[in-house]
Amino acid sequence: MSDRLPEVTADHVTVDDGDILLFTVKNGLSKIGVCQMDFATGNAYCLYSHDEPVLTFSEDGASDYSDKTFTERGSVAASSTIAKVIDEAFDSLRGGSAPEYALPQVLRLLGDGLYAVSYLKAYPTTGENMFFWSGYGVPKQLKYSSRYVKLIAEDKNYSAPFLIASHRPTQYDPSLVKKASQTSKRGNDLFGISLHISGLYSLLLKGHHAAAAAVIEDEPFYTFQIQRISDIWKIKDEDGRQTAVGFSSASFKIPFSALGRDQIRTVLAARKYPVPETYRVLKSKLCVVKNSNAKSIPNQLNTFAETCPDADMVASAQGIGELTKPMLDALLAGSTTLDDKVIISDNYYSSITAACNYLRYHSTDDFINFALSVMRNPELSATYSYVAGCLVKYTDKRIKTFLEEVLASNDAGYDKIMAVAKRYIDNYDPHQTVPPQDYLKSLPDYVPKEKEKIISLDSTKEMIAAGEGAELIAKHMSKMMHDDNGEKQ
Amino acid sequence: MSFNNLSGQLMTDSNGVTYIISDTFSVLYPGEQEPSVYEWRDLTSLRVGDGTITISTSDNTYSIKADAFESREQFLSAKAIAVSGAAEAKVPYSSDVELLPDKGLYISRDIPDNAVFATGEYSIKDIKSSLLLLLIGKAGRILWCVGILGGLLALLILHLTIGFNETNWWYLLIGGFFCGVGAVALVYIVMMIIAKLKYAAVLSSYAKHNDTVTFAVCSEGFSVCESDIYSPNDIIRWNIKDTYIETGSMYIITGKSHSVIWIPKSLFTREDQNRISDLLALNLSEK
Repeated sequence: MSDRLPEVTADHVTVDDGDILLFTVKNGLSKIGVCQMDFATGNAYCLYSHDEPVLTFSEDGASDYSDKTFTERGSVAASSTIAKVIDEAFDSLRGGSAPEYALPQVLRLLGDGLYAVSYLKAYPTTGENMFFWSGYGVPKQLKYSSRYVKLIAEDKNYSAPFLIASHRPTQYDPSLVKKASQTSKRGNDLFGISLHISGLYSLLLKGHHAAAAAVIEDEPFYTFQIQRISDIWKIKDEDGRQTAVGFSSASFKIPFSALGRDQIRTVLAARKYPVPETYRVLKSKLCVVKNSNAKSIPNQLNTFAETCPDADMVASAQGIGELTKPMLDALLAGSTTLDDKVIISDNYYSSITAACNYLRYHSTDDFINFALSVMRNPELSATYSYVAGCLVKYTDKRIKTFLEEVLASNDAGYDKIMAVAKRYIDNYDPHQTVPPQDYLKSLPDYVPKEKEKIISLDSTKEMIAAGEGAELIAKHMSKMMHDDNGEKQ
Repeated sequence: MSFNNLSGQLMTDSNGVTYIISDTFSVLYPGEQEPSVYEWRDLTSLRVGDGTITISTSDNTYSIKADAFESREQFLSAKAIAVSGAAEAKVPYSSDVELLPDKGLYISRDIPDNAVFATGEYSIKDIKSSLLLLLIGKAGRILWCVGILGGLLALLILHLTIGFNETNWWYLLIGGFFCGVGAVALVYIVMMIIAKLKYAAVLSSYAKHNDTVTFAVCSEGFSVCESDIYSPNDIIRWNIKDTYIETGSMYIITGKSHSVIWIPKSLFTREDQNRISDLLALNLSEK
């Protein structure tokens, strides 16, 4: 470990997009970071917390548009020191402290570099309407986890709202969800702390139970997202050459002019994937750690999480500037342009799917109207499968009526969606969902566990000296047996 | 990019210009706020000399002189990062012939715990003696050819000038033989001088710094790197086209794509030497 003390400084930087809270970390402890990991199958990356692998991910291509495959491995709070630092920062934020005062201790745990902190609405799903603990430990390719997102222009910043769990599902405790719904709040917001990884995804460091409470209550969940800014921001100069003008990340672009010389030096000197001191331990743990799915998460959480937008919706909402009625009408008329300007994309199919996702994100009602108009236009039959797939995610009488018409019509143009239509009508409103408040009330109350009495070594020594060693061992064994039975029960 | 174990290097030269060699190459001029930042793929060439790094881009050439480096370790680190960055970005780079292998040959791959390890310094005497054997190994066939051709040429000249007959053929044959031997000796001496000139700079450069070297040999490949910057996460993979020679004091790996790589036997135990011999025989062909 470096014998130099970590230095964390907080600054507010004003750029075109507004005010950004920036932390500069110098001589960081690198207790939490990402390193390159040599696996038999090839190189991958590992996000670690001291000597605990938390998340591994690999790129499925060499391009900046290649999605990554993620696997959750362990808990970021495996080290009690790290857990304590994060807990304290969370408590401080919960108490109303500004992030520039609450987060420096967390930032000290990271490697050298520049970090922006923003407070944003987040979704505890991995981009596909499934609660983040449900697919824990299973390798999954996450949509739009690439550096750049196809639907969003490269020069445009985007937010990363999806969360990957950094605690194991075994840590799920329904009573803590109930408790978090009341206590894990900053003002009226349920919140957590997250660390951006790539694309639309961040790792939730703290606030897992608060996220579960938010999903159950259908309340928004917010995170203080820490995002490393290390990419070189380049623009074309007058001669057409790419010139570096600042640093960038998924959500931020900061010109060199907004930074001090020392900050610039720190960022430029920092390596992207430094090798941690615990590399060997991490690698050996990755060879033996088994994915812990022993504890199943209530399926109800997945049902509640279905209300969260998916990655397509978020990407479309951020990538499309505006979608006015004349634009939608032009799309319905089969055109991808309006007034000689491309509405979304030159590709008609992509335009319709992106428009659907944009509308789904902003207004369900507008989406249903638009989608039904698409479905009623025989010239747009190429998009029927995709649009119908989106439509059937909603329970709405207009959709049911339309699909009944489709089934009755026997129109060959609707052949591709017949099965979907039949399934939708068969399953239309057959089950009653548990109201969120009732579900939350049904969870057990949180009861603080009694702290186990610690027998000091000094007293043990005295007891053994007094000839009470056998009694001490008997007590200890009895307690062990009791604990064992308790666990089995 | 290999050598991720090394931190980014900041150097400020006597003119106050700061150079940063890390995942990118950057230059900060005194008094200027904005740096010039180049990704490694933006470079047009890289040249690493003994104590100097010269980086060329489309609009400038930067020469980081020896005075900018605070220590030998900093120079080695900067060199390793720059060369591996350029190699990964497929930027043409060159360096003085060195005793240790080119850093651009390394790839990110862990050296397993069961590798054969040693740390120590080269013995210049061992290298010189191995150099002779290497020369004979490399030029053995050429010397035979030179000898035969020299002998035949001498016989032809003798025949044209004196002429063979029943009385002198025996003397002329012996004369031709010695002419062949003389030609071999002459060529050998010339080659020795060239080799000595070529390696003198390398050997004196090594002797000047006397870097301690870490050696690791395993089934995946090997590493021969200055201990100050040695990384257990980077390796030179075996190249099936390479060949090796085992001398009394050295394992020598030769190949067209790199300079000669020396692994001294004296740093390893007898058992480890046997393992290295096996690994070399398994992965390379013997010359």
